[in-house]
Parts: sequence; C-alpha cells; structure tokens
Amino acid sequence: MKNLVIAILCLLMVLSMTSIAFADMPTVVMAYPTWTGRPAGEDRIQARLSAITEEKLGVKLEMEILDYGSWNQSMTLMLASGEKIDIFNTLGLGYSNCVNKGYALELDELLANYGQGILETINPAYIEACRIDGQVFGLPQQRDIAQGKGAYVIATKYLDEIGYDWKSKLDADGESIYCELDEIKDIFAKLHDAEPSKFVLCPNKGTQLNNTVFFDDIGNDYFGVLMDPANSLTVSNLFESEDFLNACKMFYDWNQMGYISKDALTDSNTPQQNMKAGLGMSTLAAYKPGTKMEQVAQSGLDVVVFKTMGVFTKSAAVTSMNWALNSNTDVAEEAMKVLNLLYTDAEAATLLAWGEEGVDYKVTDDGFLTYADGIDASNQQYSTLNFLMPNQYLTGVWEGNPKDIYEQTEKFNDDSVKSLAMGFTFDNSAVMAEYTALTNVYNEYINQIILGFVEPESAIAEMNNKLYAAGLERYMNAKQDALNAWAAVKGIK
Amino acid sequence: MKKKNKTLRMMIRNIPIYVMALPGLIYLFINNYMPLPGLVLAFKNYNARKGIWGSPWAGLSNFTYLFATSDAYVITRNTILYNLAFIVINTVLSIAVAIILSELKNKIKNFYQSVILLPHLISAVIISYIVFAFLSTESGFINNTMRRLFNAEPIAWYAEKKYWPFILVFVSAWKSVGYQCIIYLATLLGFDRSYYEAADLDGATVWQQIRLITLPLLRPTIIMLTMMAVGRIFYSDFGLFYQVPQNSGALFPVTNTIDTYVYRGLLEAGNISMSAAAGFYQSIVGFILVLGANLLVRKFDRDSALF
Amino acid sequence: MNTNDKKAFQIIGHIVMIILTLLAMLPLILILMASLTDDTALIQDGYRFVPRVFSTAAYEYIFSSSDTVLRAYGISIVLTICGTMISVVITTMLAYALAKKNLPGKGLLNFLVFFTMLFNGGLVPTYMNYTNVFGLKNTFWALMIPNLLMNAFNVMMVKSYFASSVPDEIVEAAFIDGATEFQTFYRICLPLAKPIIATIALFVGIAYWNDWNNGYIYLTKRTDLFSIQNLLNRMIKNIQALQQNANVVNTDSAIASMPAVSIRMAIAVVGILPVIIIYPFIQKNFVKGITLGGVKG
Repeated sequence: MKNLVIAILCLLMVLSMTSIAFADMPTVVMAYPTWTGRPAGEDRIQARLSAITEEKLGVKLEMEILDYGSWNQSMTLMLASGEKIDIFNTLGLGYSNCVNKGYALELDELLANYGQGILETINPAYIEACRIDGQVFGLPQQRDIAQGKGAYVIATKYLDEIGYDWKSKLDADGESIYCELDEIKDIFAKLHDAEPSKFVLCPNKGTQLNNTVFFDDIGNDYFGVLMDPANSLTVSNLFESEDFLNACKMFYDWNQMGYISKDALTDSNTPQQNMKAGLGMSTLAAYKPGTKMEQVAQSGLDVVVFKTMGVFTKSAAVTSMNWALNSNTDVAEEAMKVLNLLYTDAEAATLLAWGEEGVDYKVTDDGFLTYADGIDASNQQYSTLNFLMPNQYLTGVWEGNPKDIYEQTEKFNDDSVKSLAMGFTFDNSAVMAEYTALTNVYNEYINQIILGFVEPESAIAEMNNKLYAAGLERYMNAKQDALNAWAAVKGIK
Repeated sequence: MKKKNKTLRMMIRNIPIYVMALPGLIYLFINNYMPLPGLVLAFKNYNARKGIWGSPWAGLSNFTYLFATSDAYVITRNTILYNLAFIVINTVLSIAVAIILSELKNKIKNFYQSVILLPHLISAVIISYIVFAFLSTESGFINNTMRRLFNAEPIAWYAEKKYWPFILVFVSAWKSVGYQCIIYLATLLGFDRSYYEAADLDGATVWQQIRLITLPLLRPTIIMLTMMAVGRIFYSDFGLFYQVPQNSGALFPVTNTIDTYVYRGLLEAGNISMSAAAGFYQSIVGFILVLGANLLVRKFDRDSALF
Repeated sequence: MNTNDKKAFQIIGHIVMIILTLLAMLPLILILMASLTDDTALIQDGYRFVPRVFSTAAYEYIFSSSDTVLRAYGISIVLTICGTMISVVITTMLAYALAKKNLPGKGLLNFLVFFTMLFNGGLVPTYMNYTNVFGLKNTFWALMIPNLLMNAFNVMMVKSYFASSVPDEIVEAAFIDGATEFQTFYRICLPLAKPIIATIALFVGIAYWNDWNNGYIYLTKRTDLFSIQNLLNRMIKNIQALQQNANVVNTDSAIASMPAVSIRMAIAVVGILPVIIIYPFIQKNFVKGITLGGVKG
C-alpha cells in the first residue's frame, strides 16, 4: 500500500515535471519571405517542423512567412517594434544594414557552442566572408553564389529558321554555348533579317547593366566599383569605363536597327512573356546550372543559352541573403540550435523547403521530387524560395532538373572568378546624403543609356557630370577608404 | 474673477457637448497623438539595440540629404508647382461640375455623378496601365490614331518631358474632380433655396445667380478645403508621380517630387530615421504655410478661418 | 423672365456632363475589355476596346477558389459597413461640438483636430502603438482602426457644414422647446446635415473598401481575415511569382496558361463592381437632404 502511494506520487511528480517542462519549452520564431506571403499550409508545416524541433532540441518552432513585396517594410516594423522574431533572413534588408542598425546578433560564440553542424556544412571561406568588424552576424545558405554574366537566351525555332547549327556547338551540359559577342551580333543581324516584324531582343531593365559589363558592385551600389575585381582593389567609376561605353554603343546600334521595342523602357511585361507572345526572339539574362529549365518554363519556348562572359562571384554575393538572429532575441541558444538543425537535418530541411511528403510533394520512381497527386502549381498549399532555405542540398531534386544539379552548382561556385573583395560590406551611413542623390541621378539616366535609347557618348558625359555634382568623388573616396581598411584587416595585398 | 466664473458655468452647461466630442478625441489621441513622440526618430541615429529613445542623437544630420543635392531645387519646385496647379484647377473644375449638377433638372444627373466618381476608385497601378494603353510608342491609341489619320511619326511619350506637366494635371483632374465635387455638391444642397427664388423674381440670369449667390455662399468651404490642401503642399501623390510615368528616367526633371526622390534614395537602405526626417520636413513646412494662411484669412474673413 | 437663359444653361450643362462622363467611362470600358481579352493577344496588341481574342480566363482564375473570394467579400462588406457607421457617428458628434458657438476651449479643440492632418508619428511608431500597446496585430480590428476610423478632414467638413448650413434659430427654438443637447443634435441637426453625412459616409466607405495597407501590415498570420483587396492583391502576386520564377518545366502547363496580364484588369473590375452597385443607394440621401433643408429652412 505504502509502495503504491509512493509510486503514484512519483508518477504524479514525473507527470507534473514533464508538463512543466512542456509548458516552459521555449519558442523560436523564424521569419522569411515568399513571393506570396503566408501559404495556406503554413500551420500544418509549422506543426510538423515544430514536432521535430521539440523532439530533437526541446524547442518549439513558429514560422512568420511574409509577402516579399512587404517584406522589407514588415521586417523593419517587426524588428524595430521588438516583436518576437528570433531567426530572420537579411534578404532585401541588406546584411550590412542589419548589422549597422543593430538588428543582427553576433554569432561566433553561439556557432562554436551550438552550431558545429553549420560550421561543418558551409565552406569556411564563405563564413569568413560574413565577418564584419571581426564578428560573424549572419550565415549564408547552400546555393549558387557565383553568377554567370551576359547570357543571351535565344529561342531555337528562330535559330533553326536562319539555319544556325546550334546543336553541334553545345557544351557538355547540352544546353549552352560559349561564344564571343561578335557571334551574337552576327546571329542578331540574321534574326532581324529573317523576322523583321519581331524584336530581336527583349531586354530586362533590372539586370541589363550587370549582364553587359564585367565589374563588381562592391558595397551593393554602382557608385564606385571594381573593374578588375579578381586582381585589383582600386575603386573606380563604372560609368567612365571603356567597357560601359562599348556596351552602351552596342545597344545603341541595336536599338537604332530596330532590334529592341520602343517601349522597352516602360514595358511592364517580362521578357519571357513577350517571347511567349511571339513579340521577341531572345533575352539577356544571368546563368547558372538550371538556367535553361527556368527560361523554358517561363517562355514556353525551347532555348539555347549563349554565354558571353565569365562566371563571377562578386563581393556581396555570399552575404546577400544571410540567416541572422535578432539582437533582441531572448532565446539565442535555442535559435542557433534550430538553425543548426535546419542546416544539417535532411527531414527538417525538406519539410521546410517543400512541405509534407504525400501532401505537398511525392518522390518519383527515379528519386526526383514532384507535386503530390492532385496538386499543381495553381493549387499548392506550401512553397518557398528554395534558394533561400539554409540547406537545399539536403532536400532532393525537383523533377525536370538534372540529378546532380547540386554538385553542378558547387562546381559552378568553385570554378568561378572570385572577387578579391569577397565579403566586403560598405557602411554608407556617413555618406547617405550623397547616396540618395546619386541613386536619383542613376535612375534618371541608366535605362535610357544602357538600353540604347540615347546617343551614348553625350548622355554618359551628362550623367557623369551630374554624378560628380551629386558627390560621386566623396562617395568613392569613402568607399575606397573603407575597402583599404577592410583589406588591411584581412591581410589582402 | 467674474469672467472665470462665467467660463466655468459655460463649461458645466456644455458637459454633454464635451461628452459627444469625447469618442472622436479619444480616437485622435490613440491614432495620432500616441505615436507622435516617434517624430523624435527624425533626430536620432536609430539603432535597434538601443531602441528609439536610447539611440544617439543625430542633430539635423538626417535632414541634410533633402537639401545637399543639385536636385533639391527641382524636387521642391515640382512638388509645389504641381500642387498649386492641382489646387487651382481641380477646385475650379469641381465647383463648376457641382454647380452644373445641382442645377440640372433631369434625373440623368445622378448617372453623371456616379460615373465621374469612378476614376477615384481605380488604383494608381491600374491607372498607369490605362495611361500606357494610350501613350505606348508601339501600340498606344494616340500614336496608332495619328499614324492612321496623318501618317505621323510615333511620339515616344515617355521620353518627352514637355508633355508631362499637362498629362499629370489632366490625370489628376480626371481622378479627383468627380470625388471633390461631391463635397461642393453637398454644400450647395444645404443652401436656402429662397435666395434663388427671390433672384428669379428679380430676373437675375443663371450666371448672375452663380456669381452673386452660389459662389459667396460656397466661400467658407472653398477656403477651408484650399487651406487643408495648402497644409499638404509638400506632399505628393506617389502613384501619380511614380507609377503613372512608369518611373521613366527621361521624365525626372518634370516628375521627380520630394516623395519620389526620398523613395528612390531610401528604398534599398531602409533608413527609418531619414524617412522620418523627410516626413517631418514636409509636415513642418505645411504647418507654417497653414498658420500663415490662417492668419491672413482671419484678417479678412474671421468666420472662415480654420481656428 | 430668363427662360431662354435657363434652357441654354441646361443644354450646356448636359453637354459638359456628357463629355466628362465619357472621359470617365471610356478608360473603365477599356479595363473591362482588357480583362476579357486573351493574355497573349493583350501582350501582342496592347489594350483594345474590342478584344481580338475573347477570354474569361482571368475571371475563372479569380473565382476558382470561390469560397475564399466570397469570404473576403464578406469581410470587406462587414468592415465597410461597421467602419463607416462608427466613423460617421464619432465624426459628426465631434464636428457638432467643434461647431458649437461659444464653447469654451473650442479654439484649442479645433487646433488639436487640425494638427493631426499635418503631423503624424510615422509608420514605425504607429505600428508599435497598435501592436505593442493595443495588441491589434492579427485581429479583425487591425483592418478597421488604424488610420481609417476617423480623420480630421471629414471632421472639418462636417463642422463647417453645421456652422454654415444649420441655422442658429432652429437650434435656439429647439432649446426653448426643452430639448436636450443630444436631442437637438439627433433630431434637428443631423437630418439637416444629411448631404454632408452622405458625403463623408461615401468617402469613408470608399476608403475602407479600397484599403489594403492595414491588412498588408497587420495581418501576417491571419490571412483568413483578408479583405477582398488583400486577397486580390495576393492573387496577382501569386500568379506573377509562378510565372516569373518557374524553375521547373510544368507538364500540365498550368503555369503557362495563367492570365498574368489580364488578371490585373479583372481584379480592378471585381474590386469596383460592388461600389457601382451600392452607390445609387447612397446617392438618394443627397436628394433627401434638400427637401428637409427646404422645409425646415
């Protein structure tokens, strides 16, 4: 009898302790954007993910998924108002901005104690690149960090029409061709002759500059760049460079010859939509493993990717979408444990990236992922920006991609030309007035010039005059000083 | 002493009035006054770790970017001139439309009134698409029609800044006259009809009635609405100046305003202190102008003054 | 008398109004037609008053999840009705007080109200106030209360109407008859002010109906509370995201057939339509105002 009482008491104690432990289980809130904001399946995925973190780490996980359109504003509001956000992504907010404004927490100690898995997963050079004033404040994910510049994506049906033998020229990857710009000019001339009523090129305003000139926009702006980023840390004015002038001249010629729509400056349709509608024959993009798939899916046309420039890892590439912890978090250790799990645990990583097996996706016989039965792009309940997820390499390959896409991506990163300034970030708060003025001048001129709507030499001269009047000199000097100081600490050159 | 007692007695007598005012005042307190101390952000170097109050003072440095630029003159000029044009043109048109609507006898006037309100319900993005449908170089209505009728060369509307002051004034009027005229119409409907009946008996023409009865009666409303518009003279309708011209760089000299300038400059940086500074600057100028205007109005027409 | 003159005014008036009506209507017809045009044709030819290739794909997409759309409509309707009613009540009461002759402290109150038109604390402090102090985030109230419930502009308009168009003699007479302040307000002044009340009800109603900002900022978790504007806004994003960021070839080509361009127009139509239907009912009050004003004045 006495034993029974003791047994019951013990049982009660254990029960009460577990329930206390359960009640006290800390919660980690993780914020990241998707294109559309909170997906319909958020609660379900959150419950499943939280079950994993509760079991493995004793931590509850909550997700705060925001619309990319409001992401900057919402995150600024939430971080500034002290709402409970523990883990967040610096995409759009700017990594250095998050550090300078005090949003991001120092991670070195936490990483050493709770983030060994992360340290083993990520290329140490990339983690080094995230150091600002000696501390790591954010962690890059496993993704295509390098970028192939200047890829002319041309629909094969028009190439066939002019009798261009693309099949025999294809690279080993079976989808792209390395070539000189002169060849593109040649092809374009023939395309224009063959289909004079169609536009040869549907340009993309936002990425045009990056895909026509080789440079490193250190500090994430165009006011003072590295023109020879692999070898020199000298900051110079992009808009006075020979390369920029030549690119503008080329587009000016193309524009004069009617290769480009007269509405290109104001068109709100994407190049791919225009190609799909039969208005244009090619576009200019950046490339990486899988580019052809993307282009085909968007334009509905079979295409060949003509690569005219090298593959480059720019200074800000690594840090552009870092995972960071909120400096006001009260559960820093737990948050780091959760991040560590998401970088290393395939089950959790897949759940985060693709949702639940059998509900959101299924595995095909060949081992690819695809939509679960009855689900398609229009009614899916959960989707993410998978490149943003901490470790998409753990999550399986979506159907339609090559099986070894992740190995290809790593090789692509490794083989790229890397900027000497990799990891340099520029705190421009002391020259913000100049920055605002420069941005306005830049916006006023850049699209007209780079898309060839104005005579380049005089327009570029005018733009440069206004840039200098807006304080370009001072801005570039500030940047060069910061770069020199950074290089001295890193021991570069 | 005696006066004080009288005021106190008046206050006690008006307790029900104060009670009626209370819900609205409480709302203004919550919605407008409680966040007001946040204006201090404009004078701080905001840092999340220190919070709004703990962040270091920045003096006036957050404001310098609004003036230390060659564009300062252009954006200020554009903002003020467009607002003045909108105030004058939209007010005159709204009053004219309201008078016409109030005088028309046929029931169809209700239909007119509904339809001209509709443009106000369309978002700036959609308006920008409509404008583009008319002005597009390749496929716009205007260029197509001109080509068909006169075999004219197409005009690159989005690269020709000389047209845009007119386009923007037109779009603004198109969007807001139907909306603004409702206020004047409501005021007109409240007028005592006996003035008009008397005028009719005296043989006054319609134009005389408008000039001698309607406009003087509308004066307080016109003054009030204009003064409220003056208070916002440093603000601009972002959609009208950013989306409708499709952010076309060639048009900046005539479309860049304080709001679009700040938006372009701070979009990437997300600097809350500097955007607070811009807002503060716009408010304080509006405030000074309204105080000045109010003083003037008080001098000439005490009853129409705002406060 | 001036019958000729009056006739001329009527004719000119109709001509002017017909021109304005056409100016307002043509672009709207253009929107409607574009929303009924096939997407590819829309990209190829730009907008046309007569669709070359007719298609209802945009509407089919919008109403493919009709329960969500209907719920969002429901929320917008409840929000607009409740918000407008509360707003009209507190606005007119405050305006009545501000219009009161000889009210001690009137100048100060007027100034306090007007001041809010010029200065505000900015987005961050307002957000902090409503989320941290009032806990409005992810609740229905977040759609109704921030910034929309009352504004100084409307208060000033109603105030000036009370001051100019409600004759003092009537109010005095009511007092002499023994009416209380509230009775005077409710029975005498409100009916006289019907045109202006209809006006601000219309303004506030439109503001509620068209608002997507509050939902955008405050409803991050409770997307089931989305108003129709939030939902439509999200649909456009959804479709654009799928089209522009497709990274896999889609065998059933569900993505390729989505109406990315025409849907913007269809959404504008879906958003405006209910206002067009309801507007005539509000308009009636403009007429009633005159007769009452005429009788009592």
